Amino acid sequence: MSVHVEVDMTSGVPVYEQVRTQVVAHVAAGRLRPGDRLPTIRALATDLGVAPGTVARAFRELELAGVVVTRRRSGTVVADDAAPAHVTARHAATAYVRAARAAGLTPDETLDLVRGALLT
Amino acid sequence: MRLLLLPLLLLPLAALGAIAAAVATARTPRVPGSRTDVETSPTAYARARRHAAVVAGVSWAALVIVALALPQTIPTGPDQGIVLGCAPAVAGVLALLVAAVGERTWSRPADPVRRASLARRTVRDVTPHAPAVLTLAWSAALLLVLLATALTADTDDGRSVTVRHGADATSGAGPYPGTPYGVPIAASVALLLVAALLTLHLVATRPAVSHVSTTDDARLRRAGARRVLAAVQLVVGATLAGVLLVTGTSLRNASRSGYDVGEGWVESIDPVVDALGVAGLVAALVVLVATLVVTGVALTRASHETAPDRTSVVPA
Repeated sequence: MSVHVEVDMTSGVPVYEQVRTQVVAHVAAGRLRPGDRLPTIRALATDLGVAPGTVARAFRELELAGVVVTRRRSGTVVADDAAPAHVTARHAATAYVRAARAAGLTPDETLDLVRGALLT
Repeated sequence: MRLLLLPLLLLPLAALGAIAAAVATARTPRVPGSRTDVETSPTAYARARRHAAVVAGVSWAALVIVALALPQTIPTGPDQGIVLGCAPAVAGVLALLVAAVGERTWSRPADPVRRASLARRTVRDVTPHAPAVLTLAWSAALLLVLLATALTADTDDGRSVTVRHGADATSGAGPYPGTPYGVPIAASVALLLVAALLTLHLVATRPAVSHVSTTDDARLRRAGARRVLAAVQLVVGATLAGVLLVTGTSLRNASRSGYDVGEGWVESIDPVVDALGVAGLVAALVVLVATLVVTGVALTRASHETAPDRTSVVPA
């Protein structure tokens, strides 16, 4: 069965975020497995009728979260270590770091909070 | 380079450039659009089939019109044969340009909620195997024949072939597709193959049809690619048949030599060259019939594989 993303242009959630969260969900659910090739940015943007930059941003975020990797030969593929559990945790970690930076925490302070959480 | 060859080379190059530009500038429109997947709407599918048929029809009309009209415009002269040899490929490139433009006219998504498959579509995914292999086979055969004729043509002009019948008896015949013919023909066919690849890329990357399932959309793409390859293999096959016909005729003519020995006229025939000439003529006929049959089968199959009864259309 083909895996799809669906975006709602009337939603308040940015399109790139809709794409990103759905790809993460597909990986977490095992519908997209490590090594699976994703469409090119232009192809996905064309099918969704959005600007290529929108899809590019979603892919960039996914790459930062370690969900996908972009290789010169094979394009964007699901990362080898993008196991469902890892993806969820990595996604949470990325969100946490973003929140910590927004709060003005230093890297050490950010890590101290994690270490503290691990002691509970 | 003669003046006559300049437009002949520039025309397909310009067309190829236009196709490449179409690929390079295939930008996503900023207008909203739609993509439904699970169920195919009969109306949307019928509209998509009509659009595909119009694109194919206009492209094939361009191929036939240019292929028939181009030879009429060629002035007689030493380069007439070269232009004639390149005419099918030139017509093919122009037809592919029309097909490429047609692929850019598919409607864009326009619904507020849009779906897209996360499966990657490549040229290989949309290209039917058999027509692609046959196209490459015709091309390889054409290249081999042109290579053989280039090696066996007369070294002085490359436009004729000479057969030695004895110590001091030779006979020659032309036109023979040596280097002056072979290089432009091979170059024009190479341009055609590049244009075909670019057009197939456009088939693979055009927007998915709204309200049509991924399976049915893929079927439409394969039919489009099949029509493109049917035209390309027909052009290459016709070019190969033409080269074989000219080669066979010249070899048969050159295999015969008549000379006066004082007591009458003696004719000698080189059996090997004569047999090669006959083989060339037979091969030309076989290739021509085969490429025409394949074209008919491919176009019929393209029509059948997108028939509504083979889709996941939900009855209205």
